[in-house]
Amino acid sequence: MKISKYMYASIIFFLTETMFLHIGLSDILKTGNIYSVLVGSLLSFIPIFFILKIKPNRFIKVLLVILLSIYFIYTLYLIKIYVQDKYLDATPSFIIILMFLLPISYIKDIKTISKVSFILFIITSITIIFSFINLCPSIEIDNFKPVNPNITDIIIGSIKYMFYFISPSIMLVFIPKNEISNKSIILFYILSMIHILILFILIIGIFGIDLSINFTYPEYSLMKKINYFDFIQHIENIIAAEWLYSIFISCVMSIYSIKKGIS
Amino acid sequence: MKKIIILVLCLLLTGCYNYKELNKIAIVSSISIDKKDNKYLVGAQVLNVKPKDDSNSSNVIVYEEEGKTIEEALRNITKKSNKKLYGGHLSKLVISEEVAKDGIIDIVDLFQRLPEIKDEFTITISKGIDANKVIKVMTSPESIPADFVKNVIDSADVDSAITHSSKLDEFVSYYLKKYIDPVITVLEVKDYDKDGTTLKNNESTYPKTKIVLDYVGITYKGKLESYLNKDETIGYNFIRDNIDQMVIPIKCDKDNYASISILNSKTKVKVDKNYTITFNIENKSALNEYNCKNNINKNKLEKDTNKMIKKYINKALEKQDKSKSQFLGLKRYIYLKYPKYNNEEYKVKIKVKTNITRTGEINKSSKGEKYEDK
Repeated sequence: MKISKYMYASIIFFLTETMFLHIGLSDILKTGNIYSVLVGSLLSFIPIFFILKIKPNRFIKVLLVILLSIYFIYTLYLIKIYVQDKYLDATPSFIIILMFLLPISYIKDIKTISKVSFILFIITSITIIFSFINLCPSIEIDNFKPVNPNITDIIIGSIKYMFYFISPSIMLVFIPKNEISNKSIILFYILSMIHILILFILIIGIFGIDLSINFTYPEYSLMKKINYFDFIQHIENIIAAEWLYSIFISCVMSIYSIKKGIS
Repeated sequence: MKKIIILVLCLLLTGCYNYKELNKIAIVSSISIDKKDNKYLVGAQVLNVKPKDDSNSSNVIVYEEEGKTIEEALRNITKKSNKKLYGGHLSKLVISEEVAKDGIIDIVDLFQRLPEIKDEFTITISKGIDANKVIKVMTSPESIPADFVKNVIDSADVDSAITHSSKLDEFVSYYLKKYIDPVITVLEVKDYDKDGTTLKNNESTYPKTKIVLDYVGITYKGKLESYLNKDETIGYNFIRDNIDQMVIPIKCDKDNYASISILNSKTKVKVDKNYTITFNIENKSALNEYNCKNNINKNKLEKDTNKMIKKYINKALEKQDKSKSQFLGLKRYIYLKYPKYNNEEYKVKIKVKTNITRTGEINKSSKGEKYEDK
């Protein structure tokens, strides 16, 4: 099977979302407005062009290997606490991590990663549309008011947003340049931005800022509200699995990038 | 070799480590919370799994235990039940008046924290009776009492506007927001006795022990402050734009009434810089009942309906003036537009426009002119 440039670029979709789970969303919600998401989304385009132009020398490679090793441990920690909090509360941590490490160890080359990523992207897109259609009518416009943006909060929020959104994308430097195109990368960046923006709109619009900052996983609490015809409900565990896909792709990519960096 | 190891490990790791068999869990449909000697007395109404043709035993069982925290009391129930309580299908939380006055916000933490519980169950107050007695009443005709009460609340909310179904997430959200306080559904039990908790209660066409809705309670700083009556509750629902459908009785002559059914009501709020809040209420209605001899005067009926709606709203506003609670959220409307608002005086204007779009299958009442002769 021929791997298209879009398949490679679909990896970006998951990389950019990983940091928002557990910490990113709550952290930005604490700034108390949605403007930082809008500003942060637009500003994020600037560093991505720099990342695409980086030609890794020895120093950059060593630095990235160290940073990505830390990132890899962080994603494993993220997966452990997320799965224990929401799915398997009595399962020992090492079993949860082992369950993830097994498929991670099996996926080695970038072609397999991109194929897996593209399939997961399709599944995620369906779940996003499915949840958005159902949750959209529950949005209350008053929850976005009062409109009195604090400039300092917006600046801090958008910088944080940029950090969470862009930092895992540094792994792009290890994808062979001939396999990706700027067009496909930008497309998946925009798709990821739209997804994150939709999440923020739904969380603030449905819960309001005051309530949503109190949630450990606001995105998971949001999914609890999905209810089709009083018949399809309690499906938050299935829908919220999209975050597991993000962490999984991030883990696989960081292992791949570390390997490439060392070699 | 590596593939074989992965395959073997995958087989070993399939299935959840902390799985729960269905026959080992007790599905909780309602929880009641009372206070006894400074401890929580918690009741859990769980579904009774029984053979399909067994009509002699109840569909639910109520367990009661006490503890310093709600979680402790619920865990203590395992002394009586051999199953682990599962709250994923909780549809109603009943709080006694005493607990509500001490602080409703003090007891919701557990229900927000547990991931299995959906925060969309209804919070209710048991007025004048212990909360555990409310969940013990064997209601009819629904098989599961919690479902019955939930349906009653939802239909009273949607069809009559005489209550407001207060869900956990809405309650906490309004509590946290500035210049607004949540309201809460109130339940009463009529003629409670021991037979009301048994299947006997369903044998009659007119069950003696009944759970009835008693409009809403208002809260201040997360504690029950007082109750609204029927008119005030309807006024509250108009102001908060919660009206789906309802019926307003309008006098159409000296002794007789017409029924105006509100089909679609929308409340738009405008706030000006003098802090005058204007409620523009527009509704489409239908004339569903007309018991007067005279011809239908649509304009007069519309005007009278407008007056009646204003009366409901004024009653809610009067209650607001007497309360510490900001249950109508009037100041919040100002705050949302003018974030620098700081508790200054405000004025309220009400504009109501009713449009009767349907008058039913007949033109005038069948009483006709013969009525007086007969």
